[in-house]
Amino acid sequence: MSVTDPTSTATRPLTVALIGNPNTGKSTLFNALTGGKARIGNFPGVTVEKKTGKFQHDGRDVLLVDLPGTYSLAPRSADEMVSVDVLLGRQQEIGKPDAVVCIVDASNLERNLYLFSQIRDLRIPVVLVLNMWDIAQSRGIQIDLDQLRERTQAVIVTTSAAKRVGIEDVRTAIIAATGAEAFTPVKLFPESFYREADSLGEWLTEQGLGEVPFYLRERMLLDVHGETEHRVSLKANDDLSHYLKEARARLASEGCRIPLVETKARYDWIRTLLDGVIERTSPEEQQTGSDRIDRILTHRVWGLLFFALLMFVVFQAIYTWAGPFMEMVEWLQQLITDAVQAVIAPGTLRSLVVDGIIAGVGSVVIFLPQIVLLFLFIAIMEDCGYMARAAFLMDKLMTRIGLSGKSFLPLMSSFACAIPGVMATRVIENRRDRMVTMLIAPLMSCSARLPVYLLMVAAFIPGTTWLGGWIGLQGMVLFGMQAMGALVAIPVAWLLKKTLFPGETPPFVMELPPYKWPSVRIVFQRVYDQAKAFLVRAGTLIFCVTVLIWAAGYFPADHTRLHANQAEQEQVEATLAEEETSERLEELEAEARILSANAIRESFLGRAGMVVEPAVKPLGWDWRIGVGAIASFPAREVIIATMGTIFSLGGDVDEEDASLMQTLRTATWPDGTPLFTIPVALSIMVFFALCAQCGATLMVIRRETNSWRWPIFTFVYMTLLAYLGALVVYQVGTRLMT
Amino acid sequence: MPAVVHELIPIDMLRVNESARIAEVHGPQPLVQRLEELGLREGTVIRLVKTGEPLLLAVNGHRLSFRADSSTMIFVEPISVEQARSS
Ligand SMILES: Nc1nc2c(ncn2[C@@H]2O[C@H](COP(=O)(O)OP(=O)(O)OP(=O)(O)O)[C@@H](O)[C@H]2O)c(=O)[nH]1
Repeated sequence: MSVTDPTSTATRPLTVALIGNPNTGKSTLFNALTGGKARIGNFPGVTVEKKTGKFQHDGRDVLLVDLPGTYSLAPRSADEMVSVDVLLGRQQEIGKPDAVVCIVDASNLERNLYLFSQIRDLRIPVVLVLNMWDIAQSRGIQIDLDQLRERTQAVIVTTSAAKRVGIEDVRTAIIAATGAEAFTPVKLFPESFYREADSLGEWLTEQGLGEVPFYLRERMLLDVHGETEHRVSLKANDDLSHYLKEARARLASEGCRIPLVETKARYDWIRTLLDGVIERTSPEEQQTGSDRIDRILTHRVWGLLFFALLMFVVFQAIYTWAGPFMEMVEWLQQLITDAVQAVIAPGTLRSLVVDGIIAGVGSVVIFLPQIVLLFLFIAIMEDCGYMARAAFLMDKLMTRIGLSGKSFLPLMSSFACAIPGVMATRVIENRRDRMVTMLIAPLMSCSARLPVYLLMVAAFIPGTTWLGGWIGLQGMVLFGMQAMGALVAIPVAWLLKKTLFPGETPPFVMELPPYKWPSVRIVFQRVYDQAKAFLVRAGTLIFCVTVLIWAAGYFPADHTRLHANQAEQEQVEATLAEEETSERLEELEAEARILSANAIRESFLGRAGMVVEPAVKPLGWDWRIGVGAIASFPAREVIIATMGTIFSLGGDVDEEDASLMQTLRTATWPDGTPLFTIPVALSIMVFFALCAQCGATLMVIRRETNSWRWPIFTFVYMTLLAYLGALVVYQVGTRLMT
Repeated sequence: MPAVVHELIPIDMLRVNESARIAEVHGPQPLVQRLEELGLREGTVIRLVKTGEPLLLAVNGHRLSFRADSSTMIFVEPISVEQARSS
């Protein structure tokens, strides 16, 4: 729409209003434009000073009206109403302005543009003056003017009014703007608001209150007890107040809350407007020690890099540092086995103790060093204050999948154990968020998965190292397995948030405690508690399952021949000197292997295994791994124990090295081909990474949600994921290897 | 010139190291309560330590990270440097 009539503009002086936030240099610009010659008067009925001045440019006379400095065009008093009246052409003495100059502080654009956003709604041509340009430049603030012009569709000039720089540009821009089309304002508010503003207009006409400009109707709705409402009410009566009250209630019920909606909508608009337009190169900062550390650790690039590196180092360390301790446990286990064999004659009891208890429980206890290390790192990170920083950093990433940084702590503790993790979700206020976090927590790689990875990695992943042994392939695979659950959790959380628990990303508040040295006592206490819990589990639950598995693998087969064979082997061995061997012994050993393999195949476990085998064959597993995996549904670390027992019962134990690792390396399919290949090892690891093999966690989910629905849901989705994941890894892996 | 108009801005519009007094806290009741517990209540003077999402605030010597959602908003009134020094 054209504001001025082209035929008359040549003669008529232009009226231009000047408006801006306080202290943006408005008076300075006014003086610079008008040469300091101002007429000072008063607007009628109010205390507001009326300051006008004149200048000529391009043969046109321009009348410049200075309006009081203000942050917003939401009039709360008659004085503040003056500016709105002038801009809307309702001020008789001045007449409708042909353009408005909005002056802003270029070094503080974000806030100054609020007024500009309101002026846009007036539908008058605007010149946006970015003053204090010199200051913005010296502070290293860079503004992409072309981009800003394109996004605002406004005429923009930069000035340093105090230095009289850019004044001529302002004059030119004013003349240009008055001839230009006024832009149609973008609709910042929800549609319901505009509908309400329209019905208000109809209502006002019905009441005989005449046409009220759109902007004033907006203000009536937005400013509770504002000046616009007040003024019209004088003419009408209380009806308007009632009407507005109801209108605001209607809007609120549609989620458009007054007065919040205006500030929010305008600042949101400013944020998108300035996104990528402003660059600050040197923010002045004066900070405490913790702040200085935070500058790096909470930095969106360095902070994340540090976090990733830290995690990598932690898992590398767990792998390398635990080695010597593990050897000690292994040595102890061998010592006990030898002692037992010396005391107990071959038979059912010896089998129970050696194959069942020692092989089973021992293979779990061996991972105590790693678990202690993992808990040690987590306890240190938490106690020194870093964990809160990690949550802060993660908030940015979590919001992408609709969660908040609040979910980070429960998920991070799930890396130790999902049970405290699920319980820690109580700190999440938002129910939908809490549910999603709880349902993905069991995907995090808990310490009970560690033994499975460690065993598979140590046995089947080549020990290649780089950089003088600092980075190893085994450590990397371990890190990858640890990270996998978390990576898979991302799409799962996203899907859950989209389908079962839709809703907005909740807000996030969290205290960041100052950094401090971790307290030895606290760290020790936590590690001790967790290690104890681990050993107790090994001594009770795992012990029981192990004995059951042993029994199922031992009975009902006939072991008399096998026991006789073992007894004879020991006799022969006793007669032989060290390093010596006899034909008879080798014969016996070969026979024993066949006997025990047959025995376990005939057992309950073996029969059950035959039933499962078709289902696990596509994963590259034989029935023994299948049975082991099924037996470990109550608690995943049981797999080590059951495999230890099954393979030990099956006679696959190497006499020299009774460790499970060695046993697995030599295990074969019935046709003699090696059972474990790298794809098989990976497929087992992936299965354990994703499967819900923890009865205790499922019980905690049931307790926390007070429903069976969610533990069942968790169990089903995770088990399906695990099977599919293992299937893909094995099938693709085998194809790649051949 | 008109009397001093107080400028109310959303908290995330503060600049690094700028101090402000909290003027209004809008949002669902439980969250407002939680914010108040952590010190984000009317009248508290805060300082912006780090901009972005979430932002980092200095509140009574503590550090708080804060990110609002669409139903929550904290409005603050910036304090000029001189005022902050004298108080
Ligand atoms: N460095 C610099 N200083 C400026 C510029 N423009 C104005 N100033 C200074 O900023 C201060 C405020 O300028 P005024 O013109 O009084 O600002 P105002 O917007 O009229 O302020 P109110 O009178 O409060 O509305 C003065 O000291 C000016 O000298 C500029 O472009 N660069």
